Amino acid sequence: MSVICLENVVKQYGEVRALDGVNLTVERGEWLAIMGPSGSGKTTLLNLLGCLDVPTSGNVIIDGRKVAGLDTDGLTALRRETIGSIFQQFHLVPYLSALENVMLAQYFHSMADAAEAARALEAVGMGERLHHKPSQLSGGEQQRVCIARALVNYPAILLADEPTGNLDRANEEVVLELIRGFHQRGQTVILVTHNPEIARCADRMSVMSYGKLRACADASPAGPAATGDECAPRP
Amino acid sequence: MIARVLRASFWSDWRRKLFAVLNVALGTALATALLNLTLDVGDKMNEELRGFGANLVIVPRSDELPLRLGGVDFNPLARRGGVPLDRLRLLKEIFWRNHVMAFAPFLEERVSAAGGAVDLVGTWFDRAYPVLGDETFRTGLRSLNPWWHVEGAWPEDGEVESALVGARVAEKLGVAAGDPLTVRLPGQDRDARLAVRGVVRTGDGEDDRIFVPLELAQRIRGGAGLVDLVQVSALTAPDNELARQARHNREELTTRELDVWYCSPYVDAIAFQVEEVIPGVQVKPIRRISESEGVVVRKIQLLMAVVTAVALSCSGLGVFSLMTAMIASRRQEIALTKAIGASNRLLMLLFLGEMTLAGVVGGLVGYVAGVGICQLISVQLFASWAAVKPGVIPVVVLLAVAVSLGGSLVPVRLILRVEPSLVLAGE
Repeated sequence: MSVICLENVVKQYGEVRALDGVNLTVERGEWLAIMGPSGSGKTTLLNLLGCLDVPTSGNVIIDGRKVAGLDTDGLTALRRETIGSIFQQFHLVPYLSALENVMLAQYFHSMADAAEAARALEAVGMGERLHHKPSQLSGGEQQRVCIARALVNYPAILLADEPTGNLDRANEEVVLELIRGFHQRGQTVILVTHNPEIARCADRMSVMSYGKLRACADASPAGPAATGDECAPRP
Repeated sequence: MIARVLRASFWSDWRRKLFAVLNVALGTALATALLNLTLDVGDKMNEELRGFGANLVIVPRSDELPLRLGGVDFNPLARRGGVPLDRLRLLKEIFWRNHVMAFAPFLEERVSAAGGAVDLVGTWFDRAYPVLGDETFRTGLRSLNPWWHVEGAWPEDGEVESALVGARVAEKLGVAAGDPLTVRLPGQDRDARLAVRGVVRTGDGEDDRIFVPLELAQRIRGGAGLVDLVQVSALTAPDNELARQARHNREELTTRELDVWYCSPYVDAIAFQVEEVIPGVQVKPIRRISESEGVVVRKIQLLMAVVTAVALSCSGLGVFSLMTAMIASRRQEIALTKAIGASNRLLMLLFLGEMTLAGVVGGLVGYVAGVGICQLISVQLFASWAAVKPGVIPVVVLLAVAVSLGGSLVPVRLILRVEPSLVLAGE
C-alpha cells in the first residue's frame, strides 16, 4: 500500500520549472534515497512531500490524502500528524534546551510530555544532554536532537534532507544508524543526499535531473543506474 | 509548554524586549501621570479656585423678589428678612460639610464719612466658630478671600471698632493703616470712631467698602441674629450632564439619578442641601466661578486626553517597528516551527503573548514612573502631592497591553508570509 503517490507533478516558479511531470510511488515501510545535482529539484520535491509547498499541477497524495485540496491549516495538520523532518542545517530553536525542542514538536502535535521527550532523546544517545541549549551541543549532537524531535510523534514518513551533510564520519554513522533503526520498525524514509554511499543504505534510489525523476534503480554498491522516467517501487 | 516557550523566547531576545517594555513604559508613564492628574485636577483646581472667593451666596428668600428697576431696589420685603446667624453652624452638618471650606456673614449699612456716603459691612474676619461636636472651625473673610492684598493688618473680630478699609474709600478719605476713621451712623446722631487696621485692594466692589466686625454692624442695625447674606466657599465638582439636567428640571430625574446628583458635590446639590437645613433662605451659586471652573477643568482634561492618546500612539508605533524587526530576525525560527507543525494562528498567539507580557511589565513600570511624574507635576503646579488612585493600575496595565497588542497586530501578520520551504532553504 503506497504512502506517497505523485502523479504528473509540476512545480513552476515563474519561468523556472522546478519539477516537470514527476511520478512517484513510495510504499509504506520503504526507504527511498533521492540523489541528484544541486538545482535538480530535490528540495522542491521534498517540500511537496513535506506539505511545505503545493504543486502547480498534478496530484500529491500523502498517506491517502490529496494535498491539492488542503488549505494552509490542512497542510499544517497533515504535516504534523504524518511527517517528521530532519534538515541538513539541524534547525533547532536556539533558546530552548534539547528537551524543550523535542517537547515543542510534541506540543504542536498533541501535548508535551517531558518523560516521553526525554526517552526519545535517550534513544538517540542524548540522555545526558537534555538541558543543553543547541549552542552547547556539537553538530552531531544537534542532529541527534533533530532526529529525536522528528521521531517523537511516531510519524508515518521521515523526510531527511542531507541529514549527514554537515557531519563528520563518526556522526554520519550514528545518524544513519538511527534512521536505519526507524526504518527497521517499518516506517517510511525519504532521504535526499549527494552521497552515493548513504544512498546505498536505502531500499531504492532515484535520481533527479532537470526537474524530472530521470532514473530509478535499486540501491546497490555499484551506485544508481538510469532506468527510465517513472519511479516506482520494486515489484 | 506554552509558558516555557514564552518565558524562554522572552528572555532570549531580551534586548529587543527591553526596548519594547521601555517603549510601552514611556507611553504608560505619561498616561498614568495624566490619568492621575485628570482624576485629581478637578479637586486641585477646585482648591485653587476656592482661594478666589465664595461660590455660593445665601440670601433671605424675600430678597429674591425681582423688584429692581434701574438699579433701585423696590422690593418692599428687601432687608426685612435675613439669614439667621445661629443656623450657620448647620453648614458644617450637611452631607457635604467637609466640602464647606469657609463662610462669612455680611450685614451692610450705609454710613457717612467726611460728608460722603459709604457702605459699612459687618462681617467675620477670622472667627473660631464652634461646629458639630467639640470642633471649632476658623472661618471668615480671611479664609474666604486668602488672595486679598491687605496693607497693614487684618482687624481682629474681638476689636469691635476696628476696620478694614477698601482702597478707594481710603484714598477718598485720606486714611491709611493705623489711622483713626470717624463715621456717622445712620439715623443716629452720633459718630463712631474706628481704628483702621488695614487697607484692602481687590480691584472690585470691596475697594468701595469699609469692613468692620459683625457686632458693630449689628449694633447699628439694631437687630441681632439676622444677617443680609452669607458667602460660602465650597469645594464642588465641575458640572456634568447630570448636574445640568438637575439644574434645568430636577423633577425629571429618576430616583437613582437624583441619588447620584444629591450625593455628588455639584454646586447646585450643595446649595440644595443648605436650603434644606436653613429654612427661609435661598442659596445662589455664583456660576461665574463654578462654570468657568468646569470649563477650565474640562479643557485641561481634554488636553490631557489628547496628550495621552498621542503618547500611547507613539508607543504603539514603537511597538510596531520593534515587532516588525523581531519577526524579521526570527524568520528562521518561525519557518522551523511551521515546518514541524505549528499553525499560523498558534505562532501569532505566541508572538502576541510575548508582547502581552511586555505590555504587562511595561504597564507596571510605566505606572510607577507615571506616579512619580504625576507627583512632580502636582507639586510644581499645585504645591501639593497628588492623590494616588490605585484604581488607575488596572486601567494603565490594560492600556499598556492594548498599546502593545495594537502595535503588534499588523506586524504579526508577517508571520503568515514566512514560507518555511524558502526560509529553511536559506532564501
